[in-house]
Amino acid sequence: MKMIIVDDEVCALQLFLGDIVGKADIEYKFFKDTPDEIVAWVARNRADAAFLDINMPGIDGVRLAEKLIDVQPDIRIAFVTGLDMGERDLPARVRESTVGFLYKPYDEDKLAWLLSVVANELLRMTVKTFGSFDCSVNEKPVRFSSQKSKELFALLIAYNGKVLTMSDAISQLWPDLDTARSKILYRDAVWRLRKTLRDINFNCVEFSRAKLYLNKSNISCDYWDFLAGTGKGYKGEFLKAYDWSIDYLAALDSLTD
Amino acid sequence: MNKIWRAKTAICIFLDAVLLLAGMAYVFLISSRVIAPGGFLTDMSVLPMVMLTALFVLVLVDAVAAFAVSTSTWHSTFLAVSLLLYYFFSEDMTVSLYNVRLYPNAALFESLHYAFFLLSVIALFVLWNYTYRLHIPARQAIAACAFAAACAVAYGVCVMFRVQSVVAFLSLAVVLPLFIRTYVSVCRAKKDNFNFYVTGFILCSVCGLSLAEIVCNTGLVSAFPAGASTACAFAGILCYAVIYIYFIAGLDKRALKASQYKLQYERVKSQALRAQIKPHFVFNVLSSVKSLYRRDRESGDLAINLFSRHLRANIEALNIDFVPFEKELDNIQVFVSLENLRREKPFKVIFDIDCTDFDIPVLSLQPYVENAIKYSKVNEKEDGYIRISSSEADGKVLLEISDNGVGFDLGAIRPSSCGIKNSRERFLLLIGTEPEIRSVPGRGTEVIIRLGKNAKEDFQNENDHRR
Repeated sequence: MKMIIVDDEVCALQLFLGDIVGKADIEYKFFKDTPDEIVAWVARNRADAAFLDINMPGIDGVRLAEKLIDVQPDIRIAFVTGLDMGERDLPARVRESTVGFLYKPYDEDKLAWLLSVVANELLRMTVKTFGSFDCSVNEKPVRFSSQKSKELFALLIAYNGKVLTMSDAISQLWPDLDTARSKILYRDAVWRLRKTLRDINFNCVEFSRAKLYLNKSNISCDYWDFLAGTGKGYKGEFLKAYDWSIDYLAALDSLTD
Repeated sequence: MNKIWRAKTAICIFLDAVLLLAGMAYVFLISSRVIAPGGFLTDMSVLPMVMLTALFVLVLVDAVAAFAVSTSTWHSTFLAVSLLLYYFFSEDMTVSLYNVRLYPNAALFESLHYAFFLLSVIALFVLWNYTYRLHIPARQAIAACAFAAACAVAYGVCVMFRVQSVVAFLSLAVVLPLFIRTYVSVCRAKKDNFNFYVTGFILCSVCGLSLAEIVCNTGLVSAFPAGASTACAFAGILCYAVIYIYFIAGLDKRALKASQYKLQYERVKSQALRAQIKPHFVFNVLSSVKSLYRRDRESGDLAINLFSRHLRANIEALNIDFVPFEKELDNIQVFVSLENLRREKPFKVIFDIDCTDFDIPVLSLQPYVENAIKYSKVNEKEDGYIRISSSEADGKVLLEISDNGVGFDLGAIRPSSCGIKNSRERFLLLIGTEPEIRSVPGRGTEVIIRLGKNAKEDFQNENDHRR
């Protein structure tokens, strides 16, 4: 994928370079504030995407986007800005070509997400359950905001697409607590899980009142593959950090024989 | 509110009816000579001129009022102008002009007189429709206007053949039902509106006399009484006078309230800004960031990201009053993470969230969390927590921010943090609800906020109304 990056500050360009260097399939070209040169370059060479700063002394990024769309209508625009702007502040023509906004100083996860959107890449989650529990989306580890929300997600994975009710979840995750307290902690874990997934734009869980349901598409999981008979890797350890995983071991052991 | 509105509307409908009937009765009684018209009403030399001058002054006053007072009274100005023109072309005026040796065309005057009567009815019909968004189809309104114009022209032609009454009745048969329909719709629109009362009173007093005039013109009742139009204009002016007294009496109070609200709003808003970004907090965070970078780059990056999110939320808050609840929760989470950066024992926040589809004043919960961080000491307790919970019951949202920390004696110490005071004022001003603080020494503190689910929409509607 070929992309151009336009910013009037060398520091910002360097930072961007630091984040994308070494990523596969990305060809990039940096520009400072020389609008005519940029437009001419795009007209000659084509670019799949343009990452533009908005507030530059030479030219306004939104105007530049308009010019780029003029010379190459299918270009995809992403704005990297410190301004408090959103899609609503763009003219309709630019809005159609805009894939997203990154606010400086941006967070690497957001950049990775935007790059995958620009590349039209499908987000895929990979889940490892044999041994310890690990989740990643397009090779980026998912950072859960609490242990219990991670455990709740592990339970959803173990449920393998079955509906998980609140009472089930509570009896497995907080077996020793009284109902009132465990319900509070359950709602906390649910909210955190929801926020984590929303932050990485991977909304694979349907949250409804007192029920959770995992949509398995775009997730690959060693446990599911193993159940289907196509996977290997089970060595007597399954989600070993969690007490409730013991219940699954017998079934897994019987499959190995 | 609803009850007052109902009572007001009922009184207005009653007064409108009385004015209408009184006008008609007056004309019929003098034309059938049951009562003699008042002495001053029969003198047609000076009185119409006086009345005309009075109407002219009324139009001026009304236009100035419409322009200067924020509650628009363009309706009534329009009506005052029609009333002026209606009276100018009336028979009383014609007689008066004859007296000063001016000889206008009587037939032309009569048809214009009628045209302006129709015009005021139609204009009001259209204006009410527009103001109250009654959604009476535009086609119907245009058709009514066209019909009225055609009637006015036809009336003019008929005057020459002295058969104008036929057209008069025909046009009224169409225009009046439309008017009544609008009137009923406005009454049902449940909006307490000054304009409606003004225009309703005036129009009904004019209508009463005019209808009677038309009936007299048919010859069913003996002769057309001199002075009826003057009485009609007089009734109009009287209505205006009563309404203006009422309006001006209420004006001061309303304007004062609105300006007070605005002042308070501005003050609270600027205070909110000062309360938000605290220098010591900024520098604390910056030094934590510095030390984190010395430890490792990644946690430094993480801290910088958190801090910029916090600053962005604060800067965004300058321009908005409300944010979605989830956004506010994000802000709180970022804030707590920043506070935890420099603490060995972190604060644990439990998000006990059951409902999120509502808006709250921006950064209005953060001060309570900040207070809990400052005073509750829950991070030193084994199972210490700060809990934020939201739940819904009967369309109302219940927000709670509680901790199981040291608590304090409400009587002894007042939690007079600037942020809390400000948040409290904003809740009062924007939503009309007051956060309730309870605290028991040794057991913890809880803050309870009750708000309607549509608090934001309600606030915006209120604001539109004020403007």
